[in-house]
Amino acid sequence: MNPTRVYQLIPAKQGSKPQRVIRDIGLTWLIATAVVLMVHISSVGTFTDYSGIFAFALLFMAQLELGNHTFDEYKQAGSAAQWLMLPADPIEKWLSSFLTSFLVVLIFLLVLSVSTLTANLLVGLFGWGNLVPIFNPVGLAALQLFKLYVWLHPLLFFSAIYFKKRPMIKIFGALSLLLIVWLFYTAALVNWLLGDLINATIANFETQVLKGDAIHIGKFLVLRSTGLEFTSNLFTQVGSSLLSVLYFGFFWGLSYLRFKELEL
Amino acid sequence: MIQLSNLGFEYGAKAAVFRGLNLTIPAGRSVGILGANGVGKTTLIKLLAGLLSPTEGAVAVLERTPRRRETALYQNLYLVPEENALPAISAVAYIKRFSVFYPKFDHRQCTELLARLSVDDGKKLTALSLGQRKKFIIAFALSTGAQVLLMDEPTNGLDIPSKALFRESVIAHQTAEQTVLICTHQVRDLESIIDSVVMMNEGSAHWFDLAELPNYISQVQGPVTSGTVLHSELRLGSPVSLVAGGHEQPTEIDLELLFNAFDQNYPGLMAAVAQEPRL
Repeated sequence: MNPTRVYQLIPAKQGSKPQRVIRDIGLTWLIATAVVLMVHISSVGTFTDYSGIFAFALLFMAQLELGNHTFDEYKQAGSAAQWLMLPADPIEKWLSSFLTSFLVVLIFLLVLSVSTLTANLLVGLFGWGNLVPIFNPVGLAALQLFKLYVWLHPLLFFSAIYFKKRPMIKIFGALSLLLIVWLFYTAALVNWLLGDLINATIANFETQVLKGDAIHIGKFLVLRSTGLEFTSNLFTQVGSSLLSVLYFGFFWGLSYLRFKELEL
Repeated sequence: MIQLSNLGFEYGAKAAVFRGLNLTIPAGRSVGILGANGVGKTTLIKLLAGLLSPTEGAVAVLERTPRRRETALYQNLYLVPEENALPAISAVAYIKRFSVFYPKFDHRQCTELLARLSVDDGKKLTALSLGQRKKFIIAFALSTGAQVLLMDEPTNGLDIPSKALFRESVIAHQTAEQTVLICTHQVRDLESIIDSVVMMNEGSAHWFDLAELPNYISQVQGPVTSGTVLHSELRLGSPVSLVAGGHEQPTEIDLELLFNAFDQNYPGLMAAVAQEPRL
């Protein structure tokens, strides 16, 4: 792998559609400003926690970039041959798209900051109440947003290469279906594995749990009103770390394999 | 240079495009790929370019497997597609962005070719006509220094003077090591630039060296008095035939006639070219 070529691929792609980059930044700025202003005006300036609004703006930007533009040069019939045959290894091409999708979020954080400044300017000009808190692109809120983006990234990045059109809608649709099926499956599994145990040993199961008491099932499981939990911290820590690694590795790895498989 | 071994490709189980193609094309040749509609000329180009995987057999270009999409191969393999969606940037910007991927890219040659082909390098590529865009991509392809150039219908969209310029440019800029494969329906556009042809029909492909061919077959104008006629057709009321065996004074073989012989009398033509040359 040649890092110089990865670096050359990024401006080759972005430079191929310079107006698109400007348009997307402008659109994100406008939408973010409009949403911040709408929430501010409708709450008569009393609204203070903008984290949800910023998260919404982030989702919008993710849809714009990962949903519409990441890998689009490889999906369009007219340009795919040129990009697939560009002298760079598949891993370099994949990495250039991967890195770009992270660079974009840094630009987005700056745009969000500018949006809150713009919103403040308008609030001040038109006298729409208190000022909106200015978004700090290197502050804690920005870090939280970046973390959210990192968590969403494997899924969206995979969907960007897997689906030709409207990848975000398709991946969220597919996930929702999967989640529903998984919920039914889990319920059936718990009933099959633990149903008899629960019914046989705890006669007043419902009342006990609803009162807030915890019911221990075996060594590792405890049933509370909030749900079924593991008692061992080590077990849950290892489990969740393993799941995280699997989640990131699975979807990023799958996106690379899918990219390598692309044919015309 | 280019080798097909028992190559087959099919779209789904019942839609075989071709099967069992065997072919060797040496380096430094200008090759026309001719075949009837649907025999898989574009599919063959895509297989050579690594844009498709063969369903059977193997392809090797410059002793590498194209489908692996290695950098070293693509620095020496360039495809001029039939249709190309170029970005909305000027030719100069395009060259700046994309020439960096080709270590042997010749900027001076590219500038000269663009001027020769009358392509406005300051204008956005999307604002150019189809013919202008085609000329731009041909100039870029010739300047990459790639050892193998694949061109799919390069003369489509070119006007008559541009076709002549295209031929001149290929002849002037093709190096001794460079192989150019041109896939086209327009046989007449190629005649002056190719030195060999790959002919394809359903199930077979064969490479003919046009300089060697008159040692095996001859073109005869008028009635044939001796020899095995491989194919004959009337042209302006007079018969023109391809006859097995060489002639004392080798005649230039018309590509259309050769193609028709290949298409309609494949076993006869193959038997004729498999004989020892008579001269």
